[in-house]
Amino acid sequence: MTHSPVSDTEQFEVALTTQVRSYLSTYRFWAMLGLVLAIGGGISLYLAARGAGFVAHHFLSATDYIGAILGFVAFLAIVVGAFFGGDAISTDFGTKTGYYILAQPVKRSVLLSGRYVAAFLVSSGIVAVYYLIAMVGGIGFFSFGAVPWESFGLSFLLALLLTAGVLSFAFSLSSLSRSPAIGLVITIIVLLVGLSIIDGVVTAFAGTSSLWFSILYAADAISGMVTQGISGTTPPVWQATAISAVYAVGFAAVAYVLYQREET
Amino acid sequence: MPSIEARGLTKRYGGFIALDDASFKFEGSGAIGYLGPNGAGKTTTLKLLTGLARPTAGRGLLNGVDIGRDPKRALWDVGTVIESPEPYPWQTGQRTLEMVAAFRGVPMREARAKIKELASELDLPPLDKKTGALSKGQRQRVVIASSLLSDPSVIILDEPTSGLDPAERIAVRNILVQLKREHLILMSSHLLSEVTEVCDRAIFINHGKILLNETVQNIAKRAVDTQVDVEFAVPIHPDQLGSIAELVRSVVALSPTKLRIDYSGHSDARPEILKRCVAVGPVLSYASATLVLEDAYLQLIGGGVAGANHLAED
Repeated sequence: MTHSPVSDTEQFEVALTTQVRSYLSTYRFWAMLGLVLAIGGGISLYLAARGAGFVAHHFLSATDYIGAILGFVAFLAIVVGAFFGGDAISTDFGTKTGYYILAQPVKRSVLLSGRYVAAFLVSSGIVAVYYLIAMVGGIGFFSFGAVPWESFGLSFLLALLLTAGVLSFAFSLSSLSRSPAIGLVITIIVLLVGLSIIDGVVTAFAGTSSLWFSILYAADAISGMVTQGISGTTPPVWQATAISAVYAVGFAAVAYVLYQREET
Repeated sequence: MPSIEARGLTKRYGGFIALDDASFKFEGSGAIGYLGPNGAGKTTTLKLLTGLARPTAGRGLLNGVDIGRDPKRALWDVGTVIESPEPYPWQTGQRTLEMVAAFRGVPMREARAKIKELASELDLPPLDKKTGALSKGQRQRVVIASSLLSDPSVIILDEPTSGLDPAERIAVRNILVQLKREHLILMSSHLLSEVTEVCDRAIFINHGKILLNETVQNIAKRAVDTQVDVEFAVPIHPDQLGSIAELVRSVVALSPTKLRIDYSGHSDARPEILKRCVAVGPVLSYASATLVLEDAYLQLIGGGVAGANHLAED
């Protein structure tokens, strides 16, 4: 053979584009996009149809409006993260795809990082569409100057970091099952039900200040920083950022170790 | 020079030993058949050699590179088909092959030309179809094509013709026979006839232990061949072969013109039997009733249920 070895970077690009194409070919991507457009777009169209007076009656300001719309972002970030990360590892070991892809001369770390970035781009894209709808509504119903740009922008960045944290967590969980479908369901149940129960129990016994470990708790800051101001959120922005970052980096490392160790 | 080496490869799952201290080394071009019943350790060996599983002990080296230490470099010049793999089901055959080409550094123009060539040689299904929509045999051919796409010097195949119809099997065998002239091929198979046709060397494995590693030619020399089929141009009754009675144990009519002769096993008896058959009537063919590898298989691994099943599959 005469072909010269391909760099990890070039193989990363191949893994990334392959995975993005994979997501774009799935029903779950189009279903999530449809859900975002239906909820965000539906609310905006309804308000537009009712007129400016109706909007002014229900929302005191653009901040009030955008804060209300962004109340859905935490749930959205968790669902998209679970949907696009929940079968990331099990897809190779639960089907015979692993025999195909893992026998190629590509480092597993390159394959995994290509998949992770692809999942992040697709998930972020869906979250960004929702923010775009909120922004257009804020400008349309109020004015460009009325939009709280600083808190809105920081909220978006925190939403992206939270999405990365959820994805890393989902990537790790996806190694628990050999079936991609079961892996996906486990991830969604753990994120939406399991963590909520844990949060509820901890809050009941020790108060919300003990939820320093919870990504659901961190998610509260996403809309909170718009409605309550950057310095007035619970949890504080720094804590929400730290929790999300630790999830993103820590569970990505766990997923990496699990993916390296897994055998077909 | 292409090479495949196993150095004391061992794989344990709890108390079960799937592979026990397997060692072999092959260099240069040629084809090696890897034979044994289900659960013997064939696929485990190939998985360990290609990095799909980690050995409990020992090392696997491809082209001199340790698969455990540097899998990317070890697999760089190696094409594999392990356990009827499934490409991404949402990808078309063309995209699947182009992805592999991109991973392996084959320039896209060259890759597309090679894909066309392989499509013709392997009679690939329409490559604009998603691989998830292909039959098992069609998918297997796409996978075989992807293993050959970068023209690797080493090719490792786990039952490559599994799921293929007879015509497809023949096409794959013909390609392997061509490839082995300049490539090193290690292939496991249940089909002894396939190994006989393609391979120069055979490894027999059972219960995780390598029992024999020998050239097919030497196996043929050792094999105790005790049956020969004779086909005459005209109908012959077994009784007409009375002149060879002292040389044979039995003569059975397989058809009016075909007889199976069971003889003592001494190699010098065979030409004498042929000579006397020719004296009885015109002989169209005179061949061993069983393949050389079948004899060796039965002697080494036994003709129990497992052995019999595999022979029946052939």
